[in-house]
Amino acid sequence: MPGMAGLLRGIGQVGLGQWTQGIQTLGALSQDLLPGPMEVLRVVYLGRAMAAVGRSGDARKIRAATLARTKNPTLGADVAEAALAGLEAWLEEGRWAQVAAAAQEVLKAFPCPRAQVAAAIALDHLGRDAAAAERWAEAARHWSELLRLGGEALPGMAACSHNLALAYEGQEQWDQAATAWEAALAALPRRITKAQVKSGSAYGGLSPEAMLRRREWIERRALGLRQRTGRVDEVLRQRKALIKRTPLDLELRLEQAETLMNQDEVRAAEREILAVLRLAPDHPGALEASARIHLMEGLPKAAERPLRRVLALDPGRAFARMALATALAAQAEDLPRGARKEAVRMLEEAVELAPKEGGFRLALAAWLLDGHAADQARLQIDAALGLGKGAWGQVFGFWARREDLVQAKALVQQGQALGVLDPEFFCHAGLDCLHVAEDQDDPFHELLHRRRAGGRGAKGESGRVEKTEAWLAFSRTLLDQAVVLDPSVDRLRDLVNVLIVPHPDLALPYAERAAALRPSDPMVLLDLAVAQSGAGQSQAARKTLLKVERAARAHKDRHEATAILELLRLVPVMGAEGLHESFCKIMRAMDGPDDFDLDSEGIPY
Amino acid sequence: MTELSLVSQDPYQELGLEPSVSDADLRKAYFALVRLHGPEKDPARFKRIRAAYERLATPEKRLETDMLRLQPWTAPPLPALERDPALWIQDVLRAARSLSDLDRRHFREDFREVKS
Repeated sequence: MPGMAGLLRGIGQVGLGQWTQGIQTLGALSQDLLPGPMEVLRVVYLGRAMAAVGRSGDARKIRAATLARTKNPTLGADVAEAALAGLEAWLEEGRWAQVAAAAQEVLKAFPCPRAQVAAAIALDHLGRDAAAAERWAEAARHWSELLRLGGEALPGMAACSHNLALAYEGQEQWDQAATAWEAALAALPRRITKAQVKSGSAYGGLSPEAMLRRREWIERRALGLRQRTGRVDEVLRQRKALIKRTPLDLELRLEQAETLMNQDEVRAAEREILAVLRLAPDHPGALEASARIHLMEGLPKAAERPLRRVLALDPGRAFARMALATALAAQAEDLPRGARKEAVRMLEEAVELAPKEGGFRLALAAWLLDGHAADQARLQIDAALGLGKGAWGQVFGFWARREDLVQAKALVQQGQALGVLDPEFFCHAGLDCLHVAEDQDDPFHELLHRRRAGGRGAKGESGRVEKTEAWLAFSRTLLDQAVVLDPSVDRLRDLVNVLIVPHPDLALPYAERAAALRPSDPMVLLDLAVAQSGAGQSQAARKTLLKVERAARAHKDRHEATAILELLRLVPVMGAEGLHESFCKIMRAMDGPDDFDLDSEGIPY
Repeated sequence: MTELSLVSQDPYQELGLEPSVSDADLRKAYFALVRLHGPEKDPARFKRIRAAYERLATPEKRLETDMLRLQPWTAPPLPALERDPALWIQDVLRAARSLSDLDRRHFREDFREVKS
């Protein structure tokens, strides 16, 4: 076998350090003359000789080709040795990127433990450097790669998963973070020995108790994150298992109750709360949660008792104060008109509990006004106005609900003089007035209102029409004022949007102004067409629809343009005069159940 | 939920302590630092020390702080290369043996499948 003799001679030359001769001998051997394993041996020694004379490029080339084919460990070790020649020095100098790149290159070709550890060290450092600069995405990339490389082969992967979880949290990637926490948990030992504690090998050398606390913390963290991502069923299931293991953890039970309440599983939530109260009858969180359930069920009287118990223990507890005030106000609202004294007492306490809530003051003022205690009522109303700009809208709504146009107008004058009213106020106040005007058509409403006013006020059809007109006129004044203060297209469109269904005639002037300001915006033009259709101007609506189509075809936002063109397809079916009616049906359907369909609304599609 | 800015402001570092410090030693070190950097002497440092201690003052807070810190990872020692890039006598023997039939365990090893 001539090939074998040549191979032996070549190996011998390399062994004696006769590199050039070795290269000649081994290089001259044809692959065909050697059996497979011997061919690998030829490449190993040829590569070594080449590397020894500085032909590292050639060595890399012949090694790479054979290694890719054979995965021979000897050759792999040679490749690793060549690629990681300066490894110790690189590590010493902290050249982490270089170490990671070289080691990962080796690992692509061959599973080398030395390269694996080197890559892990470098990736961990790179991850920490990125995390220190809060470059969380980069940190997560490095630690993910480390975990992929480390797998079960490297120790301490719980710490790496922990760090990866933090990096995901830094990016607010809650689901991935939860998965990483769960991986950290899975990598933590369930039990640790004293020897492990002493050696510091288990998660930083923690005591078994500390390890248990960490395990529980991680479980809760992962649960909290899963809940954020809306995977509530999974959260409930996992937390249930956790409660079974740690039945005395009251906070955990309350968290479960909170989640159950949010899922409208009231009875199950109540069971958890009762379990806590059995263990700790004065637990403020459990008492508050119990009160919340009663309030949710519309039982304010039942909510009162646990809340008073909480406040007896801690009078400053904010949630309990607010909840008790709400419970009292709700009870006062349900009292018959004759129980004025009782209602005032309850609402006075509510105001004392939550003095910064204008709603309670106004509810109290309403009872006081009905009881002819105008001065006391005025004090409450002024106190409500003193709570900030937002309270002006609340007080306007109060007068509108009481249908007291004189007071409503006086309030606006007062606010304008003080300069505290903004466009938002005028919009909402204008809509409040519209609602009052709409209510005049309801005969039951008139009866109710006259009873509240003690039988006084305008009577009959003519009185109603008069009142409706007065409130409608004031509404127009207020809405116009909103546009005076903020004449932007957005403001105009806001008004059009709220008015277009119930009062297209009122929406029309605002739609016209918006279209004049933005004549090539298909959405603005569509608003105008719908308003024109609703106001009985079918001819004008038809003309505007042509403009809508032209504008939509030239529109930049293709998605919006397509939607508009789809809608225009329906116009020949329903006609320009039916545009407003169909629009109202669509709006009503959109306010209803999620899965509305146009057919059931009688809209041809 | 994320309080990760905490990670970069390590309270242990601020107090000059190792994360493995016992609760008793932590308190001792805190009081020593507060004496050294009192509010009248060094108000800024005092504020930082106080804030750092606040995050470790109770077992619950300390657990939360510890868990929101990056965990140290102790890498295993770097394995040595398994091969000495000099002549390995076993390679020579392997090559030599393949010249003879010393390694043969079954007669079939000398035969290859004939492909038509």
